[in-house]
Amino acid sequence: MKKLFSLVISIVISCSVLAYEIDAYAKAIPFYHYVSDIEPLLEKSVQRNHWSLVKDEQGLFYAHIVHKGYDIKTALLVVDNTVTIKLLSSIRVGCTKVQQCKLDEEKIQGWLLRLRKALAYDITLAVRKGLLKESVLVS
Amino acid sequence: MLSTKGYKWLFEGEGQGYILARFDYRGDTNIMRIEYNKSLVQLKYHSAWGDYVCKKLVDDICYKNSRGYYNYIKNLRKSIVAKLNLL
Repeated sequence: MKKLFSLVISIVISCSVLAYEIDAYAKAIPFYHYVSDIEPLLEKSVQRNHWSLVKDEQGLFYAHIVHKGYDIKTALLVVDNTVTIKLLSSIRVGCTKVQQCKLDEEKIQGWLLRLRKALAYDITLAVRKGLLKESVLVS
Repeated sequence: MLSTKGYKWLFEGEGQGYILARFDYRGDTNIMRIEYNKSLVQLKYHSAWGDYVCKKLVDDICYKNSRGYYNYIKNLRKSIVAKLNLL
């Protein structure tokens, strides 16, 4: 009984360890005044993980990917010098059996977090470049 | 941050006398506040999710956290020291 109880506890703990923090990707990434034109940066960043960037007539950005049977659409909201990823839809494509068509939220969270990391990486580079430029101008 | 051993730390924001650095690994997130002035740089706990949530926080210094937390901030500290030595 004791062994069974400890087994259940360890399974619960390991599941919580593996689980992604819900919407960890959704926190805004600030870029302040260091990035004057965000579009080329977004284009470059999303392509790193094979996402494609779409800009509509109103100037809003969308990132889209079809990967491992998932079709994920997101909006990249550029507001007050920040970029935020907003999940619009995630559906399964090309699945034939019912049991294979289930959405794995953890996978989606992981890919969205990876997209955020790609964006944050290029923003980090841009901020570093901007700060170096500023420090050279000051000195 | 970008040259830290292992996974990179990424820019998360800045303010007067500090920069926020974020680290994401396997669904766990740690955000450190790199405070600085003309003579010192200090790493402080800012926020975290998952495994890196601090269990004993005193004056924004975390005294009880997972082993990974201390390993990763040790690497961040080392990379900052290496950069400062180049100045």
